[in-house]
Amino acid sequence: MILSIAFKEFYNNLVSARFVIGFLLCLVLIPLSLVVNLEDYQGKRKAYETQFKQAEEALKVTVYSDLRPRIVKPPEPLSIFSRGISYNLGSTVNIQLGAKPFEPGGKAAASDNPLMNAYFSVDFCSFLALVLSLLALLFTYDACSGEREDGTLKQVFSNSLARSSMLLGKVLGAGLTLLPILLFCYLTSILILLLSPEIAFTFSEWVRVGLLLLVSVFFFSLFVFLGLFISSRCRSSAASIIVCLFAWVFFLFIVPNIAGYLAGSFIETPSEKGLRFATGKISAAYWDELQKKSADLPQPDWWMHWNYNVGGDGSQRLIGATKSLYERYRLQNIFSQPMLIDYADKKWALEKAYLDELDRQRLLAERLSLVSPSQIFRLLCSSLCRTNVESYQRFMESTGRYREEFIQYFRDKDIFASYAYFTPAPPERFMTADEVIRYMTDGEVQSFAELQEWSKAYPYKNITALVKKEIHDWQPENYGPLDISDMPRYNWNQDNVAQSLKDSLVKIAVLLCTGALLFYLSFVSFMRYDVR
Amino acid sequence: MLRTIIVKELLDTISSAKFVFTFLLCTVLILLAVYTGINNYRTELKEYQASVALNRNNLESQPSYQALAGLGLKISKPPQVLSTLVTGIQDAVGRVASVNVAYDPNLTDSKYSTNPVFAIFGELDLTFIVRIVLSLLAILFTYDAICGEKERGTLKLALANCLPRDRLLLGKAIGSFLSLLLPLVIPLLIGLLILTVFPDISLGAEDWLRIGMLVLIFLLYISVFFTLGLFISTRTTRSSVSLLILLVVWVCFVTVVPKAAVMAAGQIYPVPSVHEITAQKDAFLQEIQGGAQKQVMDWVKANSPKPGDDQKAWQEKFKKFLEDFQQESTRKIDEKNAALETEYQSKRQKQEAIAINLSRVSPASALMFGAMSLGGTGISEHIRFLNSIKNYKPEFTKWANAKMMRNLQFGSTEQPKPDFSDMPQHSFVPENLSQSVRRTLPDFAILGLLVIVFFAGAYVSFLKYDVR
Repeated sequence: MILSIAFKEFYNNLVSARFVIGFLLCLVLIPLSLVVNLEDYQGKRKAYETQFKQAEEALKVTVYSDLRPRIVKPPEPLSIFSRGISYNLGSTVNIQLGAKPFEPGGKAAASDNPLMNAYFSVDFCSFLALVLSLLALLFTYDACSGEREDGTLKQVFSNSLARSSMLLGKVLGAGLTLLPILLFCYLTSILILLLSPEIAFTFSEWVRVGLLLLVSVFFFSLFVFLGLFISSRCRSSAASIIVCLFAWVFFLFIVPNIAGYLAGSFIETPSEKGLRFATGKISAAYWDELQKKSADLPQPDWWMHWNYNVGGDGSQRLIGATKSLYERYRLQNIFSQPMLIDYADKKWALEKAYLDELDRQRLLAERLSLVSPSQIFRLLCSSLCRTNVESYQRFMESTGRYREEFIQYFRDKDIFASYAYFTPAPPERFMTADEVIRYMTDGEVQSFAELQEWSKAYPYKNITALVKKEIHDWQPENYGPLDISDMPRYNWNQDNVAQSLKDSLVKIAVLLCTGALLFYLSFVSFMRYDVR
Repeated sequence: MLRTIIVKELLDTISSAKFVFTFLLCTVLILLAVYTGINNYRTELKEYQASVALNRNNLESQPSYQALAGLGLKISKPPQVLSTLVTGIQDAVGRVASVNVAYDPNLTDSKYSTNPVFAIFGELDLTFIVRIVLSLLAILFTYDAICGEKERGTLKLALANCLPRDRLLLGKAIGSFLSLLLPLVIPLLIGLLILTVFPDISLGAEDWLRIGMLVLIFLLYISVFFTLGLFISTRTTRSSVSLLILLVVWVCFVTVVPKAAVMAAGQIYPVPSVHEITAQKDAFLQEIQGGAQKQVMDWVKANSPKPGDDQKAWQEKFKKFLEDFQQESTRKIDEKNAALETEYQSKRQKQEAIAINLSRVSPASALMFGAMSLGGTGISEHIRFLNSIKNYKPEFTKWANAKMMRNLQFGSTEQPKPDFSDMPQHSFVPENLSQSVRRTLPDFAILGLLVIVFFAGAYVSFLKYDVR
């Protein structure tokens, strides 16, 4: 009996205008959104390849102080289905001694083309949330109230038909109608993916797509139950559609938008400028301490830097100096570089507090939005597609761990205490100032003191005239890149399915429980429904 | 007679549960939207002031002109006061640009990238409330205007008297429109009143004019859905069918068309990705910078001072060469960037025009674009700000290069502290009212046209309506 009711519902729906409208909507929108997102992904992939090449190129350095790996995060292929936050964040992380990875740099796609930001374009899962929920409500809003108005309800129940069978038949009927639409959406998207050669999903990614489908089924059945419940509480179908409509707008538009703002007003957003100001102060303190400590270092015999490049984060490359100057820099690095790391920890305390506060705000917003099934669905999709905040946080944590590994690599080699940290010149051929002068002037001037006297005596003469020979070790082009084959490499262990499911366990539970509750409620109200 | 119908319609609606519900919903949502808008604006303003002070501090603590030219200065975008009502794309686009002698400036650090919470959850401004909720309410007020009366059987009774059909329709339309305006305008006025209470929100005469036009476009937008409801209710015989059709049309107008149009524009007229442009810019920059060292060395080798030359004079000559050389290479960089940028921008603008015009089929898009233009929070204002920075960059680099090279001290680690008194300042003049209005004219026209079309449709259909 249940089956015949279900099939009757199904055939009824199939010929109705709403089915045609829903089907057409899906037919146009789903491929469109998928194609657009596919193209975006390809653009990101291209950008990733160039950035990765640049990062590899940047590893060809001649001194260890210039060695600062840059991690480039490959774009997430599943972002085609759900963008999550992936479009708002950069994808490169610079590993530094003086700072822990705080936020990724590089370009975020969203800010490039203002027209293409989240405000105007939308992904597969959001479209699905929008269309599926609406269709589910449209197919069920008049399930009881409509039949009552038509007068068919009392006729049906004058036969020996249990009310529960009727209700189950209606649920199945709506399911039978919606499931083909949903499957159609997924099959089209899978077809598009299979036809595009740039995308090759792994097995686990296909599993994720399968899970997405499962979650979508949960999601639309929840809205089917909601529609049934509302319909069994209303006398007229006009009233039930109005209530359905408001429920839909409330869940899809109002709740998600208010949740963010409420969370923002309960937990104040910490000021990023304040953080930068505070970390700036810590950096200034570093320079003060460095200057104080450097005052005790032995003075070199000649302050001469033949070829010297200094950059941020301890980067220094000195080619051509006297032995005592090299030694002075080596001694300075022994304390200055570990100090850099210590100060990074001090900054991190503040940065961590800032990030924690942001995260607290986000969690509150997420919890508030659990009221809305569509927001739960979108969050679930983004966690299945690895574009959720947790996945991003795990990525940042892994870059933090890699930084530790990288520092350990330096420490194991005792690199800060070595000359190789800042100069490629071989230490066994370092010369004193007197030796340098003697060599370069080919014995014309014997010592540094003599040279100083010479320049005092002839203040307008140019010293370069005295140079007869150049020192071979002082030419930068003599040095090739360092061999860093033993450097630990970063590898990004993407979240496995279990992890993503763990992130979303609560949400799935809420989705299922709400669905069950709504079904129970509609069952009870239908049992008591006045069919006349 | 018209008056009687209007009064009857008005009294009928005001005493209904629908009206009370609408009033409460409107009051809560509108006030909430204005309040969050004010709060956001105030935090943005605070952040902006803090960042301006911080940038100033950073600038003044630069030890030398070299550091200044290399690190450059940061320019923050001031928040728009009308973003309290229309957030627009402000949160999604960058707010800070670094200007230095090398890279082409770009706006970074959007609110979404510093705090992704806001990207997951949407915006909640007055425009959003009008676009989504109030349009729905407008439909709710008219979906059963005609077919509902027919279902109840009151329509044939009314027309059995000597009452012209057009008068009945007009009376119903005016009556329900007035009863819709009431729950809308009162909270709106309270909201605007709240806006004036906050001391850090200063609204000039022009801003009030803009607000006036915003209110006008809101009302026009609501009228579109109102007349659409009237039209559909004269084309259907059952109120549930009428509501169903209206609902589908509403969903298409509000959510589907605007997004689909932008996507379709991307397909019809693709624009090269920004990454490509940036990669080209960076490659050129590296080419210039890579060649620079060699060219300087070559010059030094060719012009190295002979024994007996005056050291001072040679240094002056060298400085002059360095300045000219530096100016020349930054000019090349700027020119290349400008060339790449103009090409890219013109393509992007074309795509944008297609997207905007396609999506204007939907009144919701027309409202959005119109409101963003009036609020100064749209795409074009963003691009204008970015361009003002791009125009400022050559001015700054010219100044910084000249200062850097003229103040070069040879053979000393002590460099003079920068003096900022004659540094060119970046200035940005927001779009003036007449320009904004000119840009919103199509939106007003589209909305007005839709109102007329729908009302005329309703009128004609009602004259032929089967009232039995």
